[in-house]
Amino acid sequence: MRTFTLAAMHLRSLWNWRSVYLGRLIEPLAYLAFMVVGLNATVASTTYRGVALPYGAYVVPGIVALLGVRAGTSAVSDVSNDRKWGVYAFARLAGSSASGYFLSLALAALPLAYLQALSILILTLIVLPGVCVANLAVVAILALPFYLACWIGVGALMGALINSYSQRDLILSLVNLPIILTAPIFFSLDTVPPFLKALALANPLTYQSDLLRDITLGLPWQANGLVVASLALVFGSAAVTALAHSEWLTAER
Amino acid sequence: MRTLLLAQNLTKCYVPDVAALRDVSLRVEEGRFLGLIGPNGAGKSTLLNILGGFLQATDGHVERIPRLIGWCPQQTVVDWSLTVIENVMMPARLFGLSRRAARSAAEEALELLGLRTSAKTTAETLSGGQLQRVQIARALCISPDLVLLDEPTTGLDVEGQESLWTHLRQRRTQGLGGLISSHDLDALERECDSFLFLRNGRTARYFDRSELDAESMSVFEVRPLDEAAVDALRTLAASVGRAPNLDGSLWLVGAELPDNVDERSLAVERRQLSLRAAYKTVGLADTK
Repeated sequence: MRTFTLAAMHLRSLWNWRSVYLGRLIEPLAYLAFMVVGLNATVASTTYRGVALPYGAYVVPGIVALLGVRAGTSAVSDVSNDRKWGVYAFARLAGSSASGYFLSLALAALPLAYLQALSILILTLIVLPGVCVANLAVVAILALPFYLACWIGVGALMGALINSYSQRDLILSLVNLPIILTAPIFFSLDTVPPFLKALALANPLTYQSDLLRDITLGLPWQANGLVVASLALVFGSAAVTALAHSEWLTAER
Repeated sequence: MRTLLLAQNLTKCYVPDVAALRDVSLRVEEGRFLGLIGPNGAGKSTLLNILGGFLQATDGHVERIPRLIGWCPQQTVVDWSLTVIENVMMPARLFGLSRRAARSAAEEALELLGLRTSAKTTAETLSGGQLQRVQIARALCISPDLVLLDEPTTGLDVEGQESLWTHLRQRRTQGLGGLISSHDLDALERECDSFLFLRNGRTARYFDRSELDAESMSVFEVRPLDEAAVDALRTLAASVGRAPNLDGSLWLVGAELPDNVDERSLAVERRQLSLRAAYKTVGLADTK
């Protein structure tokens, strides 16, 4: 019950500061409307695991998978703020567990992620009319909770372990863009140089975007599915453990 | 009386080997307020945060009996993304009150603290005093069994202070217990049943009001009559195991003045009983 109350508070907070979060809603749509449409006009088609497909059909699942990374970035500031502003302290004082708190972050992020995914799919119908989105919609509904668990886990881990704004900002700056750019969102791993392939294989986003492609293209998905589920479990558990051992209130102002 | 809060040998080191709090023990009982007194940096806020569970002690043990604990920190700890009433409702909702009950309790608490008209504004638009009121309202909104209040009257106007103390007094008759840190010694003397003096993170004195009453007839303020007598005061202070206060005075508690008080060089005045007088008797030597 407390978990749902906390999730409702996170959503309330999001609503009160909706102008701040507008960028988060717009960003994936901007990627799709401008970058993907532009590249689609240039590249036309690509291959994924030996299967040729239109460039747009290749990229859109990656844009949906990217939503998890953005939720993770927000989780860093959400957890830091909750520990600064007493929300986490009150939740723990009232008897909420670290796992309950973590779950509340994910529950609050899920409707937003679904809303973003829906916007992406609707925009895809408009700007990339040849791309079939029906399968992707179903798969996204099932997969996004795992993606959020993974990336919110990473974000909460940072929020729980780092009590300095400048350190958090530095790490986010160093990590965020490489995560997005080394994953096969806009390019296919079939054709990239070995060093980029090696980096991509170390990136959770690779498995998450590939899982969406595997299922929508009817390819074997079990191996990627197992990796995605394991990443969600590992980072989610690590975040809960870090939260459970962190101070309820930080002196950071 | 039921014990609401028991702390034993609390020690907190923010960095290894430097103790912000060392070996502090206390007990808060039902229907009783414990006043926490000490200079800035004495460890009061650290102690309150540990007692609330917001900080982890490096060593020692805390036992909190009641579930409903009202907490008002010294620093501003509010969710800037929520409105005033949402901030006040937050702990009430987390402690399990329904939305309607929490809103009703929050409105009552805001009314008590004169913030009803600001209920729907965001916290970032409020002044420091108003933010302090929000924190107090948040602590009282859950009808707590125990309150941990860290300098709750700082920034409050006279009406706000009176309203707060009246409410706490009323709730105390219903069993509310509390630990209240403040520099307002007159208010603490009026409202509290026992007192804990902290200096440099250690217990300098921990006593019941009855002990304060018993000392009432023998509190003396000793001052040097001139510059030449300062050494005489220091000698006297050393003989009773203290150092003079920062204002150059030495406050003594005891049945009789020591024999070695040289009244030709030292002015001696008997003081009215007060918490302030007792505080002054905790010389700087006690803090080492």
